Amino acid sequence: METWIKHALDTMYTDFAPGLGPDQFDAYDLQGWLSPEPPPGIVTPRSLRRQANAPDMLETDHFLLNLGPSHPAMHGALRMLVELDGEMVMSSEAHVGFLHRGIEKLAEHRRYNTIGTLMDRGDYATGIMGEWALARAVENLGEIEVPERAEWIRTVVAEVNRMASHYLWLGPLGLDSGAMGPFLFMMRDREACLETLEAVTGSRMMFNYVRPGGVVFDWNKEGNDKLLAYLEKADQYLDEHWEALIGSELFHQRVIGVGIVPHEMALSFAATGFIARASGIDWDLRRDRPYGYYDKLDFDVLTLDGEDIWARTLVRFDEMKQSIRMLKQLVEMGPPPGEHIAKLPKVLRLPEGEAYGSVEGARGELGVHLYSTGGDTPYRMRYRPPIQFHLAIADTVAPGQWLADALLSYGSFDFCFGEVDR
Amino acid sequence: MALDKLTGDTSMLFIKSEQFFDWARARSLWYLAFGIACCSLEGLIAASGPRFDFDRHGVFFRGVPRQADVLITAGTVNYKMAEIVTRLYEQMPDPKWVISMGACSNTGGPFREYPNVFLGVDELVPVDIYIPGCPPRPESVQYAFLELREKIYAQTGERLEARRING
Ligand code: SF4
Repeated sequence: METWIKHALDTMYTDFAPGLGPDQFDAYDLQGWLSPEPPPGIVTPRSLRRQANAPDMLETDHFLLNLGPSHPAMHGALRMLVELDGEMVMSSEAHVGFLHRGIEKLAEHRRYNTIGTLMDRGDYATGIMGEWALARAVENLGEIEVPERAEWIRTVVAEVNRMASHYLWLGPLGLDSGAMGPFLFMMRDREACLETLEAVTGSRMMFNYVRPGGVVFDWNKEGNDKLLAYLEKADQYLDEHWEALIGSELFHQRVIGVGIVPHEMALSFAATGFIARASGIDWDLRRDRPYGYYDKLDFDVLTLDGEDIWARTLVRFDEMKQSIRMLKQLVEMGPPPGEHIAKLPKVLRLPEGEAYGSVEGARGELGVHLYSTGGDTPYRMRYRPPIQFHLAIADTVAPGQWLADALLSYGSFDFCFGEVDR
Repeated sequence: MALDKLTGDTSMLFIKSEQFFDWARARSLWYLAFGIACCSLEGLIAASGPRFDFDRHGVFFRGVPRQADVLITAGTVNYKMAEIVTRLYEQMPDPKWVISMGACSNTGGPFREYPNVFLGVDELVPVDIYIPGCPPRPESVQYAFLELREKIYAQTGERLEARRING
């Protein structure tokens, strides 16, 4: 039997009234919702109390629309509460916490080489980046020397994973703008990346591969073959995506001038990664604070002043091209000889102190701050997710756009909620 | 029971309407596109992609619970999300099925020790199929849909049998 009598998009479907179970809802007179005064005991959000007025001086009613956490246009467990005037977004509030599962707290009870499992599940679209950030923090604190070979392998898997994650962004961005076909092609290419990763690390998503001191398994032939097979096609694949989606005029009309993140806003909200680079902040950790094998590679960083979704698309597309370029160089160099993991005690104990390690993740600077009191587990671990900062931007730039554009602009920030809620 | 088994050599089709409807339902199981966490990348996104192509089994995603038959709980359900999962289940029209995907949704998985996390989504909604793994591969999800199909056929048989015995 259905006990739920209201619609999911209804304003009543809220957490402003946390104590209300579905069966209590029929106790309310539904007409009461149309009156200006809300029923007692329920706090209306700030935006509902705003005076209604429209540019043409006609009185319109503002409408509260509840997007998510289950909404076809929302990516992940995000709930956006938007206030609409006609189809114009007047205000937007992000509600987070639907995926809070205590990654930082659980890390305090795990040994250093097992925290990687949690980092995987935090930034689940690019597990390698989270693991690498943690490994770098541990290595900085314990002053652990990482073998060359391990750095090479880490750089390769990180770039392959970055490609996989970018496909996962560009495809759904196409879906949001109304293009179904390119999404399917990008999923095909993502599978090629995941197959490479699977051959090297043993898993498609939750790798637990990069550990403090190196990587778990050595580079193997199967992974090498899969990578070569992918690299052979990769440029052609990217050209296809350009023709099918990015170069298409329909896509241009949807994205140019939409979702503008001004340069000052990007600076003051601590944007990193592609959001920053599309708003004119020339900053890439791989180039500016080289780690891994990046200082031996030849690559460019594209920075644009466009500030809109189109600029973000171009920046990310260029990142994909550069990743392929880097992978080709890496394959040409071949893995340096030596060990793939440093000799470390089985139970790693770090000295007292704190350290920060970060990598240029697929979405921005992904960092881990460790505070150790000398045991085999951290006293406190802080996870710096880039998306949390970008979420605040997405929230701020939405008002003043049409609803369809606002949805596209939310999508363009590439949210990954394991990271935001942690 | 599959239609080809029922028709046999003759071209005539004799089938109870209930069997017919269940046969049709079992072959177009539309799932709700409701991704909670990491599992959704495998169970919902990779699944609808070209490699695994669930569409050939009649399994396709819908954005609205009113049009969905199957709820895949793909991810960690915490106390804030629990209410949403229950409501989505209630909004789905009967008959409906639930597939619990991944260690988190089965038992709490890697986050089991954290007090905010539900120790299994079966505390909230009745689960038909559990898929182990963290995350399960898309093939496992495919297998779960095939199992669910068998389960639906079996339930029709049981229902008809019970009605025959009880009059
Ligand atoms: S079972 Fe594993 S992959 Fe699935 S939601 Fe839980 S942590 Fe993520």
